[in-house]
Amino acid sequence: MGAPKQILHVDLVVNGTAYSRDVEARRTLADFLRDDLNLTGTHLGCEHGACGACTVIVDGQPNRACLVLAVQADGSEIQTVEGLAAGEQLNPVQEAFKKHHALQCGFCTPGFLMAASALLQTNSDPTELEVREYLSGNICRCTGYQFIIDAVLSAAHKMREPGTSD
Amino acid sequence: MKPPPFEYAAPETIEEISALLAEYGDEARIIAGGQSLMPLLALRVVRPTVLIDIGRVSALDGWRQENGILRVGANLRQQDLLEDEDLKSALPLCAEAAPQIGHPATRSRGTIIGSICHADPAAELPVCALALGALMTVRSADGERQIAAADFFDGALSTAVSDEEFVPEVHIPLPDVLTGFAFCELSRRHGDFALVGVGCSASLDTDKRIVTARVGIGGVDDTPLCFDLDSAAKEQISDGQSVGDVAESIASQLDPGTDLHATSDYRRAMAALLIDRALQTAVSRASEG
Ligand code: FES
Ligand code: FES
Repeated sequence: MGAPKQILHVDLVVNGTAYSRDVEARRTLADFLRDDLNLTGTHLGCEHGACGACTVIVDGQPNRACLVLAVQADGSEIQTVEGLAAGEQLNPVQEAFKKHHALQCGFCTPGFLMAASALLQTNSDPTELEVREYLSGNICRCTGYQFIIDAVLSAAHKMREPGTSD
Repeated sequence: MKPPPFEYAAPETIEEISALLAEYGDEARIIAGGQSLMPLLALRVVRPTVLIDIGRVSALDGWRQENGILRVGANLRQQDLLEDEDLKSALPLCAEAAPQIGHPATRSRGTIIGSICHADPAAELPVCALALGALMTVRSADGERQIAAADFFDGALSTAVSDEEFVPEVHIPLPDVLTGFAFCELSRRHGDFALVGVGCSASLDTDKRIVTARVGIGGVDDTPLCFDLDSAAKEQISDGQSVGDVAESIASQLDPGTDLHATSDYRRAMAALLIDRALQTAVSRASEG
C-alpha cells in the first residue's frame, strides 16, 4: 500500500502570528491555511488556479494559495483576509466593498479583497483600467464587476485622503 | 481536486538536481514557480513520484549579461519583466509581452523558463524565445547541451528536454543598436492565453535596410512557430512597400485549428493582421534606434 507518507515541517507567519506545523508534501497553502490553521476566510473555488478566490499575499506579492505548496511557503510571511480588519473595525477596502455593494454571496470576496490590497500596497492611485487589469484574474459569479471596481477606486481615494467622503 | 501524494525534494545545488533526475527520470517533475505544474497536479494529469523543488537553488536566481549574451536563470520570475528596469531594457520584447502573461498573482511566482518549458502553444514567452533566437541550456548528470528555441518545441506541452534533463538557463543574444521588437496578441479576456500572439524582431544595417527579421507566432498550431523573412520579403519592406503582403504570405502558410473561441479562418486572418502590426512596429522601432 505505497510508501509511508513523507511529512515535512513548515514554519511561517500569518497575519503577524507565527505557526509551525507538520504537513504532507502535497498540502497546498490554501488547504494549510484552512485545515491546519483553521483560517477559513481564504476560499477555494476551482482549486486549480482559474478563479482567484484563494488569493493571499505572500511576502508582499499576491499569490494563488491553491497554486503554492505549503512547503514552498516555508519561511514566508503571509497576509490573509482575516488580517484586514482590526477587530470589528473594517479596513478601508472592506468598508468600500460594503458601501458599494461589491459583494452578494461573498464567496469570491476574500480573493478580491486580497488582490485589491496587493494592488493598493504598490499603487496608491490606480486608474480604472489598472484596477480592471489587476483584478482580471479574479472571477465573481454574482455581482458583476463594476461595483467591485468602484469599491477599489473609492478605497484608494479614501486611503490617500483620509477624512474625505467619496 | 487535491494533488496526488508525492515525495518532495528541495535540492540546493544544480548538481543535486541532476543527481535526482538521474535517479528518478520520468517519475520526477521539476517545480519552480509551479504556476503551470500545480494545475496539472490538482487535475491529476501528472502524478510524479518525486517533486524536485528548484526554488531554493540560488545559482538559478536572477540574470546577467556576459559577452553579448543575456543569461536568464530558471528562478527568474515573470514579474521581474515588469519591475526590473535593467531587465526591461535588455529584454524589451518579453517586457512588452509580460502584462499579458496570466495575472499579477501568477506572474509573482511563475518563472520565465517555466513557461517556456511548459510549452503551451498559445503562451507568450515561447513565442518570444523563438523571435529572439534564444538558446535553451539543457543539463543532465552527463553534462550540458544547448537547444535553439526553433528546435525546442516538439508538440503541445512537449519539448526536446529528456526525462533526465532540466533547463537551468536560457541564453538570449543581446540585440545590436539598430534592432527593434514588438509583441501583439489577441485574447478573449485580459490574462487569457492568446488566440493569436505574435512577437517580432528586426535588425537594420546603417542604411536602414533590414538584415534579419524574425516572426514568432503562438496559438496557431501544436507548437509556437517561427518564420525568418527571406531576402525578397526583406527587400520589399526595406524599399518601403507594404508589410501587409509579407504578413499575408506568412499567414497563408498557417493551418490553425478551430475551437470554441475562434475558427481556423479567423485565427489566420488575425495572424495576418498581428504580423503586419508587429513587423511594422519592430522595423520602425529599429530605425529609431
Ligand atoms: S481556488 Fe485558487 S484560483 Fe481558484
Ligand atoms: S459575490 Fe458571489 S461570487 Fe462574487
